[in-house]
Amino acid sequence: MLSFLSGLSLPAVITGFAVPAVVGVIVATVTNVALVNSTTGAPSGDDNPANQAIIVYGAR
Amino acid sequence: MLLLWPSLVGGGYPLARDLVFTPRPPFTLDTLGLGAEPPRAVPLDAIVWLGSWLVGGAVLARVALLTALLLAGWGAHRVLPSAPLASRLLLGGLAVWNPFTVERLALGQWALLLGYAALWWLLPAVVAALVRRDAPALGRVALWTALASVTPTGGVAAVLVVLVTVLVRGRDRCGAALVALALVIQLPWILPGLLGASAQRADPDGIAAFAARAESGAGVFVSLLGLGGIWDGSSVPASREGAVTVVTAVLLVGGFVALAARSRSRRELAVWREVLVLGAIGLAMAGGTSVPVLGDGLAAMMDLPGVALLRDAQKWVLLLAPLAFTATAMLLSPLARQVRLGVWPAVWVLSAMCLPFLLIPDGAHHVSSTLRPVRYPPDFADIRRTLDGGHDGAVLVLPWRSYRVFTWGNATSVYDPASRWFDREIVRDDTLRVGDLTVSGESRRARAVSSVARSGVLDPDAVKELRSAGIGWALVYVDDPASDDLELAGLRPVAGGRDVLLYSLGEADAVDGPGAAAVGVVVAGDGIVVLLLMASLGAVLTGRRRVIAPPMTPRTCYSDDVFKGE
Repeated sequence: MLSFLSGLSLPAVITGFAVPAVVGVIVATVTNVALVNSTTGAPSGDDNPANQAIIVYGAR
Repeated sequence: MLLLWPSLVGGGYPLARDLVFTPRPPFTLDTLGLGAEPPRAVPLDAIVWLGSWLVGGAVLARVALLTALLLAGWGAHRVLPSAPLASRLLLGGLAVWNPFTVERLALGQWALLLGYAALWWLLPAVVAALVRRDAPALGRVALWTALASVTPTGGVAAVLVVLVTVLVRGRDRCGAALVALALVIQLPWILPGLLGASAQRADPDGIAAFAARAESGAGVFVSLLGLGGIWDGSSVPASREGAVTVVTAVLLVGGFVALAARSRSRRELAVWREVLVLGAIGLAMAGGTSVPVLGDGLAAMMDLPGVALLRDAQKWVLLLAPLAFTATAMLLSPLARQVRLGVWPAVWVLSAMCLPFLLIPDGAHHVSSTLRPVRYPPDFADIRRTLDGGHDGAVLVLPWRSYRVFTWGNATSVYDPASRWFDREIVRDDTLRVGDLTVSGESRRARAVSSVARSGVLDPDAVKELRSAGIGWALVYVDDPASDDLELAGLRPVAGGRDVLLYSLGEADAVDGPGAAAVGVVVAGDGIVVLLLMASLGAVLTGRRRVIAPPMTPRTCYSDDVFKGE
């Protein structure tokens, strides 16, 4: 279907889209699981931003 | 997917910064824009209400976020139909992974990104309508304008896109009809903006608080040229704070120069005049408030309706995005034409995909804290049930503050989710704190009870005053450290638990609403737009059935029959 929609040949779609897509998903999985898991979870105790007296929308 | 990864793999609801989704948001006067606050999320709230009713807020959040980014990438690559594949892929990648989308995503403003994505489709649609002059083409313009106009900011941007395109290439009756069409689609937020109960005057200090911000020592305009410069420093990835800001700006300016110098580039980008004008307008609007004279002038005009829309200035670089990204992507075209890689275009694909990533390598990591979903405590559902069966009256939210940080949520400040949970008018502090700056809110209701609410003392006299102001309930976020300072002697919680508690203040007095006439006018305006969009959808679908066309490719869709017909 992608070949039909894009007007490219099937090999071009496979090498140009499918292969990079698979590689991209693998890279995304590895990097993001590592990045996100390293920061998961709200800090506890005094480190928790919820314990701040002043909560700002943002900071310049 | 890389950017949205945390929201796609985790369960629960996005709840950080301005990104607030709940299971079933209510339909209230605020949904129509007739509540106590300005209609900043109109008609977005109505769309979210409808979508949540159909598929639930959790699914809607994922679909909405994914749709915004996919539409941007998909729409962008179609703007250069005759360019090499590598340039089109680079353009698609840049349209998704760039400072503007990353910073706005970090701030949780997904609806603005939806409007940005729709602009990539709206521009070719307007050009096509000016050439074809038939109902399906006009219908497409109406539908893309509507998608862009889910927020007032997107609506203004859409009107500018239509207006500029018409002025550049179609100053005739068809062009006038397109501009009128785009303006009519803005009725859902224009009418409540004029008839609503919020204060008409926004705080002039908001201009300075939300002006574009320099992300490096090179200044504000260099940041804006690189499509960055958001007012909130915490939304800026660390990689943007250094020389990358300058590199990005140089790359984009190089693209402008190449576009201007190479006639082939201008032929490839059929809408180069439109994107040039829109880019100039966007840069001027984004940087205007950073110029002292202009900023002060704008602050003095905050009485005028709609001027408050200009205060978060950097968002207007979305008008610069088409020029910046197409010009940059076309820098790759000569190289891609000369270097043939046979059946391995994957090399080009990967190269084109890597450039946006290299410019903001920490983009996904930076937005993860905003996108990571959370699970609401069961107290919210318990309170909703109590309110649904309880007496009349608005809900006062305590401790008195606008943005919150929950111990059970992400470690970032978030817009109060109460208004997206409970089918009552929510009265909360709408004062915004931006660093050391304080920007007053515009809710008359909040102003009326702010002294009592800020004191945190709900003694019998205070309760009586609140009830006379139409407030029958008090909602307390228990995990807020300031909740320890509240004095609620004599009040007994009627719902909630460890994280949120609901107190009944007793039957509240009736307060004046927006009035039947105002509601009628707004509903009539909404009805006109809905009918217009249904007719547009019908015209588009009917037109597709009638046309027996060759296989649609990017080239036949947007190049040969449309752009060359000018």
